[in-house]
Amino acid sequence: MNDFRQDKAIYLQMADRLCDEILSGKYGPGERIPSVRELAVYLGVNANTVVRTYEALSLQGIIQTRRGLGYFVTEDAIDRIVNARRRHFMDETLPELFRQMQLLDIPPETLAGKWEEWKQGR
Amino acid sequence: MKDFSYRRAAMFCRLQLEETYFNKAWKSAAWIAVTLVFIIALPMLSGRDGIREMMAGSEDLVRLFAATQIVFLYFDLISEGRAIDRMLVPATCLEKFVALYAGAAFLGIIILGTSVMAGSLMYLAAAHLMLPGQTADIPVFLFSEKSPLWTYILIFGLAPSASLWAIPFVMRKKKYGTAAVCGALAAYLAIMILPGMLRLAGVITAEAASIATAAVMGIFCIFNLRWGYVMLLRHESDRNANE
Amino acid sequence: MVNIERVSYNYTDGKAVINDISATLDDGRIYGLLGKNGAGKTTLMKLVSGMVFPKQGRITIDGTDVSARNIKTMRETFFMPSEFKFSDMSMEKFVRLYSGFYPSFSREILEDCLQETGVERIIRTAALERLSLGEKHKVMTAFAIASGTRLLLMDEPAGGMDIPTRATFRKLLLRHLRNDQTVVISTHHAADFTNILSDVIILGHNGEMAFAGRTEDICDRYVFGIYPSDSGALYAEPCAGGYHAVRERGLEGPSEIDLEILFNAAVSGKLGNS
Repeated sequence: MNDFRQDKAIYLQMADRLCDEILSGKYGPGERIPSVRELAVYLGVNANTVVRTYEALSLQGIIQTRRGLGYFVTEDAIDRIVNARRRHFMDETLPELFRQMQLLDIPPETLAGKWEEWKQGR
Repeated sequence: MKDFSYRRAAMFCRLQLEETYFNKAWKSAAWIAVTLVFIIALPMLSGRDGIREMMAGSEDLVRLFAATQIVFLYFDLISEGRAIDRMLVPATCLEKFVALYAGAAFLGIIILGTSVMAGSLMYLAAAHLMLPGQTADIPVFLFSEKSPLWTYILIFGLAPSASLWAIPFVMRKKKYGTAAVCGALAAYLAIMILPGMLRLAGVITAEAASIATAAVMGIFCIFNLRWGYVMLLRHESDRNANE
Repeated sequence: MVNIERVSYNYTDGKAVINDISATLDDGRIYGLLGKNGAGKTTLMKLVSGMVFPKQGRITIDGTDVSARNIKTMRETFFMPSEFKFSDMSMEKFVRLYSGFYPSFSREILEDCLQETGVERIIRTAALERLSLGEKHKVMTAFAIASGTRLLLMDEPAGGMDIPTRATFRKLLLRHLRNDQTVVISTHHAADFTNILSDVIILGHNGEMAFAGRTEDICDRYVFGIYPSDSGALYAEPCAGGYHAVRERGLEGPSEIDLEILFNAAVSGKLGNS
């Protein structure tokens, strides 16, 4: 069993956190997000780490920098975040689930039923 | 020398005096007052012949007390364990060195000044008790007799300035070697008393010896200043880090 | 920028406390200095601040040898010792007597730090030496940060602080540090400071450099976590969930840095080069 616990690197945790905030509407498309220094002080992390976070998010097109003004949420940030998380689900979460099911001999047919159960419970 | 700042030296001098002596001003004043009274009174109790002899004794002790203040300031300078140790305070070694002398001079003058009053009063009172009717004869304290020049150079110039290199020199005898330290100190003293020895041997007159001693001491003062400063430049923290 | 060039130091009994250490401390970075008790963390800081002279090698700050005790270097260096005593005077007096020596001292930063740590009101009236240990450390830290010196050396700042105060301390550091300031924090409580560090320096048992690296590089090169077995790990310790271990990072995503494990791995020599 490849059961291990590994906490995500801080800069990735902060990226997730910011994405959550964008999804929840705290920062709308085109809105300014905290500066590197503001976020560093707020979360108690070194500014270099925040830079890394913002670079990663810029690379994914979720935020962009405007010279002298700061960092801003891109117009299609929400779509990009949702797509990225979908991809992560398909590429990481599902295979891991299937691995477990195989090891524990749980047939895939049980999934649909369990899904229904879960939906009823909500 | 281009980095020397009178302002910083003054600030440092003030820091030392304020934090060490004037912090609890009455406490320091009380200590000094008590010490002064004690050392002025000491020769009185020794049962010497005349009041003038007693007074001379008191005066010497007072002068010594005034001159040794620099030693206290030196140990304050190199002391460790403060929030900001003196040696780490941003001032050049030269500025701190000058501040030591300035502080010592300041304290010395206060002590001498106070002793004039205190000593005169105490001896006036003593005279009343011992020789009633002759009180007009009592000289002003500290000015009772004229000692040769070299005694003043010795007490106020040489001893204080020599302390500033001799004390660290001895404290670091591990580094220099006990033999070197003892040898150097012996040579230093030998050269100083040389004129006196020559006079005793009859080689030179008393007056020549006196002048020679004063000259030697003067030169040694310069030597003391230089080496005192060098020692300070090379001063390192003693405390083994207690980790 | 601080340059430590092949510095060694030993006490008079001969035991090496700093053994051939070389490092560069760049502007704007926060260095965590880790090492076991007696490993020389304090000595290294004393060397960098000029309180002691290296037996071998030398240390320069912006090109000037620290042993020269140049005024330009001294007034941009602040050393906060792990243990210290105040005189019996008020904070006002302390600031009046000492702050003039630090050209970059900022009264506003001092006030902010005192306020954030909750000692603002006490300080106005109390004699410093009568404060509790925690309060003294809050005052000293406030002064250190307010000094604004380009090099800030703090020896075990967390020692006299309770846990909430440590969080405030981290916040104050990040809030007030300028881009040209360099901070070195020595600590036993590695975990407290992990997130604010940009670099880690680890001293081994014999005063040698066991590890030095930027946190981002550590993140790229190693992964830390709890694993079911210790196989393949560079270093592992048994724990409740299996093994606390550090491994070379392969294709997996970057993990959080576990300074305790990194430290233990480094001093055990399991990390290879530094």
